[in-house]
Amino acid sequence: MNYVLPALLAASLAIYLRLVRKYDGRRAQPFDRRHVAAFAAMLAVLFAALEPPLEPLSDGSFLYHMAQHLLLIYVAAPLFLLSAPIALLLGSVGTPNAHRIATLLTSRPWRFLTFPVFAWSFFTVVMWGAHFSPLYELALTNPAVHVFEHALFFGSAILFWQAIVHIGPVAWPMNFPLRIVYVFAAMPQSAFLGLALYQSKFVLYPHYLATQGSFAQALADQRAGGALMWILGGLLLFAVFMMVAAAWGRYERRLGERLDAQLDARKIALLAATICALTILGPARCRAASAPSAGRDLFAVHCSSCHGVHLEGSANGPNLRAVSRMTVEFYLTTGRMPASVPGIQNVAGTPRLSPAAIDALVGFVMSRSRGSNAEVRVDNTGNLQRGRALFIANCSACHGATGKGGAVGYGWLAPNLEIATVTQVAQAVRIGPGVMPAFDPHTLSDAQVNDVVRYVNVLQTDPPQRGGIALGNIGPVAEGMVAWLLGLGLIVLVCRLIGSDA
Amino acid sequence: MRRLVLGLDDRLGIAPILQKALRKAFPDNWSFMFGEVALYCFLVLVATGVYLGFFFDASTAPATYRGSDVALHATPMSAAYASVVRLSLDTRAGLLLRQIHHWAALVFIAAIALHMSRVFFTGAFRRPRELNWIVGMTLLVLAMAAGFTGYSLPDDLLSGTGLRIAYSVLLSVPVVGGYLAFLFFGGIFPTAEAIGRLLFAHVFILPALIAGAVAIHLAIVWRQKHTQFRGPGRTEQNVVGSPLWPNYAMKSIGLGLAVAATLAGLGAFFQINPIWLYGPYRAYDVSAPAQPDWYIGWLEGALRLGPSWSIDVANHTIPAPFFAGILLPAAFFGLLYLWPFLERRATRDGEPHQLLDRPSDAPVRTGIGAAVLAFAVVLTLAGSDDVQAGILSIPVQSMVTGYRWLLVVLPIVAGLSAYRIACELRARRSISQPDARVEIVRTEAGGFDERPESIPGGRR
Repeated sequence: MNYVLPALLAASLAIYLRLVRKYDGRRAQPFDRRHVAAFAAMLAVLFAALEPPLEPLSDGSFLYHMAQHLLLIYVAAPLFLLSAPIALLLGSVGTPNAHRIATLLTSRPWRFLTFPVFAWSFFTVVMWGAHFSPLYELALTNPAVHVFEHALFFGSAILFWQAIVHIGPVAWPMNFPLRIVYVFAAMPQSAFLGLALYQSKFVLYPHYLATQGSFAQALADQRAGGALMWILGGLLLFAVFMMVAAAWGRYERRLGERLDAQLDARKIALLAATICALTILGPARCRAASAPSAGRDLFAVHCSSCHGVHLEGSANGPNLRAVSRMTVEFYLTTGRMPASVPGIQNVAGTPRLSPAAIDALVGFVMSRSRGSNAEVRVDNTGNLQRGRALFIANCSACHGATGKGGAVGYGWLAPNLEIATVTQVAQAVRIGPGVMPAFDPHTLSDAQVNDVVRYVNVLQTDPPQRGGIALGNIGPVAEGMVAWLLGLGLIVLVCRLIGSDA
Repeated sequence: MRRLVLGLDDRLGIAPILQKALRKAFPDNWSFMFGEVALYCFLVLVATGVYLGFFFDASTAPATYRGSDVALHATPMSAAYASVVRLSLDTRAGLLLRQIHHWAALVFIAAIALHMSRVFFTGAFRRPRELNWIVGMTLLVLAMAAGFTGYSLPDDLLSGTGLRIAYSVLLSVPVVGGYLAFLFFGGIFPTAEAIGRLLFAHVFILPALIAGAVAIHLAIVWRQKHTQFRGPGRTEQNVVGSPLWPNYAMKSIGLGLAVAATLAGLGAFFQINPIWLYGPYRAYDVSAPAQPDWYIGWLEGALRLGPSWSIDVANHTIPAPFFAGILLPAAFFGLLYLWPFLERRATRDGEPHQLLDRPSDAPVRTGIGAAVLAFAVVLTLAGSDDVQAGILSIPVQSMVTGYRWLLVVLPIVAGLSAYRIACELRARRSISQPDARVEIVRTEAGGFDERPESIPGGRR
């Protein structure tokens, strides 16, 4: 038995644990122990993959060798990333060293290396190249090349997985749909490679001819290895695919829950402050003192990092000293603010603050802003026909005639109007969030805004979906896909059934 | 009855001809049926189109709409648009038949594309069938024209936008552009004449041309007989298949009913082109994102990806849409039209062929076909880059840049991969399908074994 690898693994565990202790000493929050568990699990997988009983078996059999490689690239590599090595390193070394690491992480080569398209392609090239070049055979006969090959597999797999495991600083953050596409694109690639190995009628690596005894056995062994890559590799990727999808759902849910919990705590504090003020100071002073102070607290926590403590703004967020009430209400009630990441277009979702907190915040901001206090009044009784005409003339160029929204250039999106309330629609018309133009009362009167809002509401709540499933109301793109896949697909199936193969 | 038939035959003497015709052999490989699918789609189109024709008013005169879509009541609109909304929302079975008609059009052209791919990749266009390839290509062009004119008839916001693009592309033709646009539209867009002309083209000229071309297409198939794949008992001199009556006729009728059922199902359960949501076309309104039906998508994509060249030649400006909107499609269709002759010249193979190639038999052709297909697919995808940009949260500009690269790279990659795979398959087949038969002998133990010396090359 060779003791080099166990010694290396033990040493890396020792270093890792030492860094964790340092991290805990430096930071208020201890290092998440789940990362430590992931690291330990990775070591266990590496040990299982590279030590007996698998290692001796893999010398003589392509099947076991494939199992070993699959463990390395699809299990050990993701576990390594889950152990948060970069975050640990940054948190445990001193500030100068952390700076050095940060410089490295933002350097051009590193960004190039970790660019998802490059990482994906590199991994793919390594996988195909290693199997269909002399490298594999060379690795079987030369131990040094073998170590290099394993390191290459492990390294390129880490590069591949880092694009979608977002723990610690990430050079190229991808949103969840893109991450799903990323994993999805890897599935056929892996399956085809497995299939190519499975289908080959030649023994690709002469080394196994010797170890397996005969051509037939070596070929059978190679086919089994190909099938393992095809099926197990596919299953593992599919599992990751599902995990990304689940993480997406979890992320969205948690976002809502965490913010709700924060706000509930805040609401209780606000309530206590109000009761206290009512009893001790009397109602008049209470309004003056406690509500804006709750608002000030909320502002300090949620807004000041970008908009400044005195609403003066910063590089990350605009000055709010002339902001209007409608604007503040719109951004808060649509959940666009408080933003999680400054600088990009914020997408509507569940409000991140409770209605009470929003009220308090709006009150505070408006007490410091000289902007307009006007509010929109819409009652959903506008004229439908006029609303339709105004909508088509003024809104559909970006939001589409069906209100489903779309891209408007330079990364900006005209949002889907499905979830906007009538008040939010009216506020958006007046203030023009993002790249949307603001329509002042000289352009669209209050009555006209009321009409538009009515039509949007009809589009939302009573879409005239005559004729069946509306396919998302996004027009010919979805229709073409249905015609090809469902229409012609079914018909080709019928042809296949009644036609012959000959 | 028998006497009537016998009496007729006595006088006309058609029994022998009919008998021969009904016994004609049709190879019934499943991939040979896509053309029939297109034919049945065409029949469904004619049948549903006749019904729609009863209710359509091809007039751009102002109309007032008082139907069941209240939101449209005060909207100024053309009589054409009003009649289609009425047909859709207030006419019995109107929407169902309109939807079947539209779905049938989409599937019609998809089936033609599939049929064409089959003919291309199996080399069925080779001598003596170059002529029918040209007729088939013409059918594709006519079908696309019929689709686009039909899509434009309702005078709604979406199709009007498409018509405006078509008008602008026509205008971009050097020297004669203005005359061409005038010829088709009768004036400066939007014109009162356009809908009437579109209707005439859509319900008369194009269907008549399609029906005529289909008749020629089928007559040539009948005369030249169908091609067949290689197989036991199949030679360049015979045709192996089911007799037309009753075997093949039953299969074909069944297929026709399946096509009709699928189209009816699509029309019944899936909304298509809800023009009452888009509203009537007005030159100053626009809805985004806007796409044409899928078969025009590649032209839309070409315009979106096309370079913004504008060249002045002898006091004539050649604007950008000419390159992507006219030259590119002309080159594309030109290549397809001329392909049988180009291939004949390149391979120096002027022999008549009744037996089909497998795609792997002709790696170069397969590679070029895959590249052209990839090119068309990238253009089609680029035609909806704004929708994809919205879904993926990627800036449209990046999508355009990405698709421009893809338009160059993907055809090369697809072509080379298809070529390599075809070569590989061909090489492999020559190993796994030896010419000589292998003799099986029973061993003393009761098992079966191949006789080693009977295996070509003597290798096991």
